Amino acid sequence: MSSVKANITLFEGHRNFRFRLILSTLSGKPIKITKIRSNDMNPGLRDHEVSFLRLLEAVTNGSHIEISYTGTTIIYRPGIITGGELTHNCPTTKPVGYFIEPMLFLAPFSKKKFSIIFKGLTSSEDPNDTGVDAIKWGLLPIMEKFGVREVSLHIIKRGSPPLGGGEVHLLCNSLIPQPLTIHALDVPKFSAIRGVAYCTRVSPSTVNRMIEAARQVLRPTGVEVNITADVWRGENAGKSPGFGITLVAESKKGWRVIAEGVGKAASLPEDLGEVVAYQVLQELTNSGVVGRYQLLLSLVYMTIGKEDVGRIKIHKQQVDENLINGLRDIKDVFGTEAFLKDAEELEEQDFMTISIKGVGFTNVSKKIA
Amino acid sequence: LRGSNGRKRWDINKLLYMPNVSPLDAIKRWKGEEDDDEEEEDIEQDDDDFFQKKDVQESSEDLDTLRPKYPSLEELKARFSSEDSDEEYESGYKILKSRLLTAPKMNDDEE
Repeated sequence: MSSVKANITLFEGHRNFRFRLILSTLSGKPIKITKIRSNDMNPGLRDHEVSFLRLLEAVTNGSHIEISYTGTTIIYRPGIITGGELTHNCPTTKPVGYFIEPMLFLAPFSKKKFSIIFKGLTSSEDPNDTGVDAIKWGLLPIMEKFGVREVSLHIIKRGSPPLGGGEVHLLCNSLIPQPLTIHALDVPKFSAIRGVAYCTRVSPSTVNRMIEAARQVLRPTGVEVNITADVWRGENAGKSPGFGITLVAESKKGWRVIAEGVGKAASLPEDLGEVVAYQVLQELTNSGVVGRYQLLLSLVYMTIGKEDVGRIKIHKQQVDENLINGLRDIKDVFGTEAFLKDAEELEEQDFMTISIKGVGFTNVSKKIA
Repeated sequence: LRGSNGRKRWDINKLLYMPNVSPLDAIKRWKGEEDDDEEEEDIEQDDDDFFQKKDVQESSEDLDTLRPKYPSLEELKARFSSEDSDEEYESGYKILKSRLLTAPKMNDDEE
């Protein structure tokens, strides 16, 4: 037991909680997280974090989780990723996106296919939460780039906050030994902006008002703008009224940069459409091949790739606190360091190449050959 | 450009994994935004942060999100306004144009 303890990776605080657990699961190395909100009025793990731990336990076999009495310390010893068919009821403190995001890191490297139905909120007013459309249009295309071709997310029911009642089905049919090594060194040019504006239990004109406001902002760019109106009625529209919009800038080679927003109570759909349209412009001018949203997923896939150096082009603006925190976590668990290099050409002086050598990870269930 | 005014330029690859430099500091040093005389003090402060402040600060914030932060709508509007002044044109709109394939080109540039 004592020898195992020596190998345990230590983390502090609630930063990147899901990310660290995912890294641990992928690497098979145990981690210990201490001081989780230890100075908070209400210390320890939150409902949604415990719920996430349960989900993690459900999609793996042999995982062992110890939580201290106060909930400020956990020890996690990962098992193997098994996936399977299950339903996860998400607490209403976080939307289903919170639980789906980390599953995308694991799903392709599982023993069995992931087929999980998530029930709960499909969107949230908290600007830190990811909606289902953002995952569908932003993260799944990136997975495709790494060789995960058959992964889909079906929105069966929408569920706006506060009551939710949404239902989303994540299905990953691709089971691959490891992600492809990627060399994405061309700065993409975006040729179209697409998106989806949805509403639940409010007047259908809401979506058109969002779309119109967004188009107004995007018109001067001259690119094709195509935003789908997605009006939900009746049983499938969940229990609460709400609306939101997700915009996606697309390049010819399939790179996507996204921005999203959810309408707050007593706010105008026009304001939301406008702000999200500006955000997508901001994001695409500050992105390399991937947006900030997709960066960590890409970096982890590069880390667990073959023993070969993967490279992607990023914008200098993307080198921020989150990136460094993420890279440090990756190093702590996998021992791999990323390398950043300035672009050589003058016209690309705002860009850098980030390269990571894969650790030669292999999907455990594919080892027997 | 930043190197020319006498400031030390830090190598981002070194800063990236220095455990005693907080990520926010690392970014500042790399971009050369930090004043030279403050540099020493900041290192001291790092230690303080490390032992006490950090948890208090972090506890209220949601630090477990993939979703990026954006400037306010006003800033964004100013950045991308096409008609306004020449300076604004330089900042946002031109960069935007350089990242987009515009409509008439789309048919020619089919790859």
